[in-house]
Amino acid sequence: MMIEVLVCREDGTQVLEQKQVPDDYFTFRQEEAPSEESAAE
Amino acid sequence: MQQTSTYHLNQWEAEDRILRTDFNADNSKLESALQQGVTALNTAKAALEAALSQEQQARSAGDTSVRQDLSASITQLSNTSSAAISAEQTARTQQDAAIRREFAAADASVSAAASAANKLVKLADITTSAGAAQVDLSLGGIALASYSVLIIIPRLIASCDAIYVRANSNAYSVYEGSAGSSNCFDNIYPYSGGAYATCYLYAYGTSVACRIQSEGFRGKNAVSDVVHSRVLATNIIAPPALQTINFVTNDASAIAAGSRLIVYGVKL
Repeated sequence: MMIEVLVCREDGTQVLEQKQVPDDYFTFRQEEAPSEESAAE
Repeated sequence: MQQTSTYHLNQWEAEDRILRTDFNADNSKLESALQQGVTALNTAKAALEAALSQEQQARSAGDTSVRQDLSASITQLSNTSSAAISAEQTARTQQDAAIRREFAAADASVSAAASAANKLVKLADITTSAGAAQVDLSLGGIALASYSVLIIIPRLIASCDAIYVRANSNAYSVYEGSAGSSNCFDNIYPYSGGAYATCYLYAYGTSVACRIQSEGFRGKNAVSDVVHSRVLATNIIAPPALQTINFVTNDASAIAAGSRLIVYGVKL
């Protein structure tokens, strides 16, 4: 899908761009860290 | 018969005879004396008028001379004063310039010393001019290797549930932390339309890391005490390759215009 991205530079200039992103771009993913026991196995 | 002492006019006594010839003789003497007096008066008047005219001419000439002398004196005094004032002004201008140079040099010295002593530098303060689902903070103009940490303070206007913080628009699960990997450094959570957080970005050495403290609510749960740190391995994004920090809404809604990104750097 296409989204709009506002690129801000440190000097204050800004540019609005179009960017193609995958459909899961807005999905939050977090994977649990393996426990020490799992790691030992 | 008696006569007066000066003009010898007749003075009759009682016994003297009164003769016409005596009267005529007296009148002739009076006529002659009066005529001489008038002539003398006219001569004196002419002499006085001549003297007066001469005096007036002399005074006029004197006045002209005095005026010329006075004018010359004034001109000379004016020229002398102008030259003196001009010289004084030139001298003062030069002194002022010298003093300004001394102050400018002192200011530059103080400024340089203050700059060297001050490790905290404000690098950017940006107010967005358009809404977008993603707002990128470009780091291309910042010498990241010169700073031990960048402190990024986003004050974003948004109504979504969460805003992801990413690097180089990388949305893969490559952000590693003690709680597990994620597809962003962390979320920041808008509350009542505004999302406030402090992001500590470390981008020197061998990796890029970001520690985020979000101020707000996730549902009814306060998240102001939630701090997450995640790091990107060198093979994912090495510090010199870090170009942007991205703020992305979780529902593709816009981060509104008027949002701010404030960036401080702590110099090494």
